[in-house]
Amino acid sequence: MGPLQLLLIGLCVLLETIEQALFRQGSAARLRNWATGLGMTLNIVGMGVWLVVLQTVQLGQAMPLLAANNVTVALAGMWLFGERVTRRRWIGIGLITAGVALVASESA
Amino acid sequence: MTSLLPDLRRSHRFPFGPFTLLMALDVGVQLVEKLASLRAVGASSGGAESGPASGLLLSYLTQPWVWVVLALKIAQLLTWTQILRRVDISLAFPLTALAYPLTMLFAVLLFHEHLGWQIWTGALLITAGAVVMGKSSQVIEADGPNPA
Repeated sequence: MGPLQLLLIGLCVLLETIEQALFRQGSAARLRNWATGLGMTLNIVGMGVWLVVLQTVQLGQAMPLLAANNVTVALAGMWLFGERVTRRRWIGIGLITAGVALVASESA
Repeated sequence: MTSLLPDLRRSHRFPFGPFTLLMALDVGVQLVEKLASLRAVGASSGGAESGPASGLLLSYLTQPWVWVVLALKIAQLLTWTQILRRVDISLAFPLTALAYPLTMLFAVLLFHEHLGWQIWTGALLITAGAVVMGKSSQVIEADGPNPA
């Protein structure tokens, strides 16, 4: 896995984080709103980038890195929406992230 | 943005109903895709057609299961936004990883798949993490009624 592939996977993580932040934003409003719509669009863009990644990287190598989304989405909740992430919640997020990475690494 | 709905996140109750529905939809997508893949293997015993990518896309769009998956995903999105109205995303998003152990359960029970130790350990970690997070029970960690 080269630097370009890592960059693309990082882009996938970033897109998912923004997408979730948009869903979080849109959830406060009525069903049809710009945030939710943009989130759905990013979802499709993210799938496209992911397919490009999978053309050169094995699924079992690329997918564990997506587990980072559990951390980045929590950070987004903290920084963008003022959610208070307690230490206990971080421990849970850490366990889940490790677990997802383990499960995903064997799905080759 | 004008049309803001009332902020249900103040209710401090975890939306178990919608979350269970979300997990069911998630597992449902996996099962439909698995069944479709089994059927595809059975149908094309002579090997997969190797047409151009556009042909592949077109052949996908004519498959009924693709539309079932699409419908399930739309239902998922609707359920997800309802959940986000009531819970911190820093709690709800990591909890959706519970779909992994749940899907594994079906893989073992329905398809008799054999799973390695790595997958079992991962599932255990995810479940443990969810329990740890759930024990804090506060949907909104800030301004809870009983700050211990």
